[in-house]
Amino acid sequence: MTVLSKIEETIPSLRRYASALLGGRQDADDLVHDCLVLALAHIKPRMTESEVRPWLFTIIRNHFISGRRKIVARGTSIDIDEAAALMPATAPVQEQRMQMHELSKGLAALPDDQREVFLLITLEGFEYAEVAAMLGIPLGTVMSRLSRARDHLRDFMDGRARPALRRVK
Amino acid sequence: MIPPITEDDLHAYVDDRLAADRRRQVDGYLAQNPRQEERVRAWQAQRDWVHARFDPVAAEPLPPQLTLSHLLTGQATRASFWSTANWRSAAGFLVALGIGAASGWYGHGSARISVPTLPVGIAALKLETKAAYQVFAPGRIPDQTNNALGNNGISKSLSSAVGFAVTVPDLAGSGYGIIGATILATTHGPAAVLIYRRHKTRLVVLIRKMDVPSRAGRMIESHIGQNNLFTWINNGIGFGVTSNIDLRMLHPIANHIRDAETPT
Repeated sequence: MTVLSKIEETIPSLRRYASALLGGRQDADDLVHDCLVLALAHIKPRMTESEVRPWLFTIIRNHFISGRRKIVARGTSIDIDEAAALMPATAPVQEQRMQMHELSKGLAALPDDQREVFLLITLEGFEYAEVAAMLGIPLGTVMSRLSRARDHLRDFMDGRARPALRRVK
Repeated sequence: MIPPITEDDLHAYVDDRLAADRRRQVDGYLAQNPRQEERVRAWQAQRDWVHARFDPVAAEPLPPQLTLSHLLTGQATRASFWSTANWRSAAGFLVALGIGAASGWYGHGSARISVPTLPVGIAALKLETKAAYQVFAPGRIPDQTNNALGNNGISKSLSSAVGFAVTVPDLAGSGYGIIGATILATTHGPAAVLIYRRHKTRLVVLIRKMDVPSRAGRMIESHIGQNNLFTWINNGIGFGVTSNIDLRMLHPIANHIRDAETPT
């Protein structure tokens, strides 16, 4: 397997991660696209296959953060459908579906630094130490962010938390 | 004696990172600590949920813009312009292509980049010129009207990137200013691409070494889609000029480029 085919193999999980990071929004594929363009322009000649996956996720993560900074500078915007999804459900369906709904909201409401750690570990299966290296933070910080993310999500599952109101444009 | 159970143990338990021994110890701990057990079960439910919710995304077929073959052929659209850093990354891209080709990536799977009978010679040059126009003319890339390097600087960068001397044609006489320069990977080697603009009209010049024996070839006019094209070979170097302007307007520009190139 070559570096290129390893990149190719990783694309589906990059999409999954981007989709989760952006709450299933359409622009997830744009994020993946930009990540791949950046990656292809910066392949290092002596890169090994095992370096590829963490490297790609680091690129996509950094690209997300830098894009996020621009959005923050402009003020967050969410569309009406999303806003509706963030409102408390009116007619509770069966409890499990309700919990899923709450989890979606909870994930969206997590601070970026907690959400990325939670997703890299829980969804993408990276080792704790790998995540620390990818984000350039100490292992202890990874663990505390993971802890906070999980407990925060749990509050949502139990209906103890409501997302902070965001500006609707 | 059992070492005390830590928060990290609980996470590693949920993430399946514990050795069997330690896992049993955590199991025992949870059995005696219902509050922690409830917490851990919730974490596990989150894990199951996040997979149920997002794994289907990874199973979807990839859209065209995320297919590596598309990305590779369109790659030079982004790696471009005056900065040396970008030149380096463009070169890195060529290296990347080299890796792929050398290790048989093209043949990987069911021929994702199908390489059937590729055109050669002038026919290939025409297609590449048209393709470069399609990619660069619609304004997908920002215009670099601030030509910090100057034409000589661009010539230098392009020449070192493609491996032969490239002179940037000066089309100011026809009212065209240079707004971009890049290199493209073609199946016949690196090509220098220059993008010009006059008002809303864009004009693309592609220059590359020919791999066919002919040292020189007369100018040929052709049309692909909305585009008029002139191609010729001079000293083993192929030139392609294209735009969507009238043939009578494009012809003198092509002549000008050719005459400026011809050594006296």
